[in-house]
Amino acid sequence: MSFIRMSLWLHALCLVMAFAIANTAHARKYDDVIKSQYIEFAVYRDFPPYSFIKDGQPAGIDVEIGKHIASEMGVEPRWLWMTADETVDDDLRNAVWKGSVVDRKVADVMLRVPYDREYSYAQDGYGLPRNDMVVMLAPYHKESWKLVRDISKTGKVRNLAIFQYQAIGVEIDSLPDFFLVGTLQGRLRENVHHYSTVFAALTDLKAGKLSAVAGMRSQLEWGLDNKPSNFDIDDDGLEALGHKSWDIGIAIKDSYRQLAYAVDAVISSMVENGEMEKIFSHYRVSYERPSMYDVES
Amino acid sequence: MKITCMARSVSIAAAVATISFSSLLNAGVTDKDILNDATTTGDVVSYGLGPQGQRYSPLKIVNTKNVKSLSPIWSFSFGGEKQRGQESQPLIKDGVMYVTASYSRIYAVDIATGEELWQYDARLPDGIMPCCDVVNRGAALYGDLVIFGTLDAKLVALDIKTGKPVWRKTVGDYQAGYSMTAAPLIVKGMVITGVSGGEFGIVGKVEARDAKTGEMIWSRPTVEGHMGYLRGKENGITGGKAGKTWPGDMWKTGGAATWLGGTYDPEVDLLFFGTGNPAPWNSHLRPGDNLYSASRLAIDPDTGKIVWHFQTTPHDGWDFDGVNELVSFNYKQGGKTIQAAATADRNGFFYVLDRTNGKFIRGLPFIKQMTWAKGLNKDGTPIFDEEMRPGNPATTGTDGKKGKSVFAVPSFLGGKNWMPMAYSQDTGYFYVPSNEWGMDIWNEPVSYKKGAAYLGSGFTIRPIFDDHIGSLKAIDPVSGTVKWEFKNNAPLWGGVLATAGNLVFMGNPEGYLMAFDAKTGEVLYKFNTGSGIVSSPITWDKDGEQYVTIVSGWGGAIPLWGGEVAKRIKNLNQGGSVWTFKIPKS
Repeated sequence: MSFIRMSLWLHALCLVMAFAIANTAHARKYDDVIKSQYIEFAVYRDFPPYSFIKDGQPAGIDVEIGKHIASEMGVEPRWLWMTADETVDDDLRNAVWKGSVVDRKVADVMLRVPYDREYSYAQDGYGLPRNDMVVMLAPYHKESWKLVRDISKTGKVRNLAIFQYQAIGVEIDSLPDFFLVGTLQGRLRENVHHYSTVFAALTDLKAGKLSAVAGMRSQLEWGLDNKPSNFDIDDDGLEALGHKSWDIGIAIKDSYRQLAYAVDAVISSMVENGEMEKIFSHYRVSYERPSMYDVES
Repeated sequence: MKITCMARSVSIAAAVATISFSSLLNAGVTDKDILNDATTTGDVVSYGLGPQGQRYSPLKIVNTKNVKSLSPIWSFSFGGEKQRGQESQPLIKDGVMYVTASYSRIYAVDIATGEELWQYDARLPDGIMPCCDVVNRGAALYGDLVIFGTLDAKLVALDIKTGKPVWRKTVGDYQAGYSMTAAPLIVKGMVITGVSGGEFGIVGKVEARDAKTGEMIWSRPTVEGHMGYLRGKENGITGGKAGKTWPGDMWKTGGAATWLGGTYDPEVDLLFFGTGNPAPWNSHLRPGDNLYSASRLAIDPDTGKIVWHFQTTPHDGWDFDGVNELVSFNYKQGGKTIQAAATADRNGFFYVLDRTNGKFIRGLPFIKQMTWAKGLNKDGTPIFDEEMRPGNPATTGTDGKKGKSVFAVPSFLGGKNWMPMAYSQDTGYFYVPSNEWGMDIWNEPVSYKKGAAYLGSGFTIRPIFDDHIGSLKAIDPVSGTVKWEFKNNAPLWGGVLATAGNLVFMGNPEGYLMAFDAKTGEVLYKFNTGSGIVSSPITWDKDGEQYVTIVSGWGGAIPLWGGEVAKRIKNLNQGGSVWTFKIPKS
């Protein structure tokens, strides 16, 4: 067998294997997505209410959005479940342009990516662009940090001073974690309780072990479905938090802009025609439009 | 060749005959073999060439006079599509080499021919997140088992002859961020391991299991406040109780990962394990010493109790892990034998400790232009330069602007990283593979984590000198002085070996296996292995000839960082092979 024939044969074998192994994927251009009749979305693993497995099936707000995009494009949705890395910069590399170091798989589209001009154009310490391998676009949601209080415990005190005396829960290594531990010269430090997820903190809140929990609005609302009347969600006390809300969109590999624009078109019509809000309300989570739409209206 | 044939026939015999028959022919590796590893030159049955980790061989068949004739006799490729960093130290027993490779693979190779006997690939689950490349640093031998850790934080024991799994134990939950890359340590029939872990939510630990069965014997968490266990029963809280040196509940997730494993000294009967940096990264959020992060721990191997600790970087704010190996050695002073131990820390200081009690004897900076500390106090604690502590994001950077940037030397990759140093019993010097680099570090307000706004930190690593980052230094631990230095353009990331032939062996990222005159640092030999070297060499003898083996395959943590360091390594190619050398018979 000549070298070329053997290499062709190996390529053919690789292709066969690629189809044989479910979930094997690489980012592709628009024509390839349409022709293959599927589109693969990268979503965070075990991340309710956005993306998770329920009764063995993919579920969540981002999953519903992905399904809707796929259906509008006339293709099947597929899922690449991401384990969150240290920052979204790493997630973009793992999910969209390079693949993880272990299996090198990437998806066509990553969901729940910040839509922030400053972030898109951020530079590293050498003055080089941090995320130039992807394009971030199509904002579909505005997320925010909120504080849920048990007002039967905190009473009328609406500022943070009360947490010098009462316990407040946070997800470890989140912005509210750093903020609450560091603020007021560290005076809340002893009363900030750390949890692996915000939902574990909400469990303790419901059990009366905490007076408050700080976290993302969607997660607090989802975790407190049928919330008792003594629980109240707002942002009182978080005034000094540097980054209180931010827009969420998608990311696609920089070289596949045609696909990016096609998905963008579906997403903007979903925001405009109320489909997006419907998905959020299905999960009983408040929907806030991304800032881009404030300007236009 | 004779030994190889016997090993093969044993393997066939084992397949058909009883276990007792095979053990009659081959008793396997015993505790005694491991304790004597440093002096039995025909085999290498432990990581570090003996549990003390001196990486010294009494062999002198290859020496300063003839090393220039050293020639490769075979090269073995790990094959597959998987390359990346090869940080493994091979083991040798009964004519067979056991060598691990990237992506949690292990091979048995005939040392006479370089022919593969078996290969085992750990099946890695989806979604594992190894922090710093997919390396493995080596295996352990005990009885008829070869034992190694995998990237999904499992410990796997394989039949030494067939490569088939005998037992498999979970050391940590990979979904919680645990991993395992270090070589296990065997002491008194127990396999003793640390664990690797991401920055958050994990707590380091040292664990002892029955090497034959994998059953847990004791577990010792490395952060104050966590309960230790001995044979299933509570065995005292690490540090006495929670909250002594940590604020709030931060001890629960305090970090201090034991990711580089440990050493053992039979003279004082203590295990020595290092611990990683404390979490979270922002030191301003966790006032206190944060014990036992960034420390060396001496642990009783029978009970798993901490006997003493020495913290190299109290209240760490620079990511100066304290995991680097503590190497036991004795020296004479005033007619007295001092039972000492030395370690070259990430923070740039070389420490000599009394290994019976952890008391500081002396220390010196082994890198140049250190900025984070002005020196060491009499008790070995650092004299901080608080101007050089990275800023507090609670007070800077929250307005969306970049926080104050400090230039800290060394960088968080360390004056010395994981790569093990060697100690020569002839010269009395330690040979320390070090790097001269610093880092700009600042609070990074434009940052997101898992779909949420975040306050990260930004780093850039910068070389200190134009002509080199890597620096192999010969350090006299008694006078506390640097005796010679070899400068290397790229950062050094591989271990060192010293021999009685007045030689020091080391590989560099440029791909060369090099031999130095142990007294002067003169380069006497070099050979390019075709890919960068980030592993630790070994040596052994057979039938009157001395062999040197090193694994080649560029990778590890350095290629993950860009900028000015990247310029020095951009032309280095990946690989994955084992090279074995000897002096050809004339």
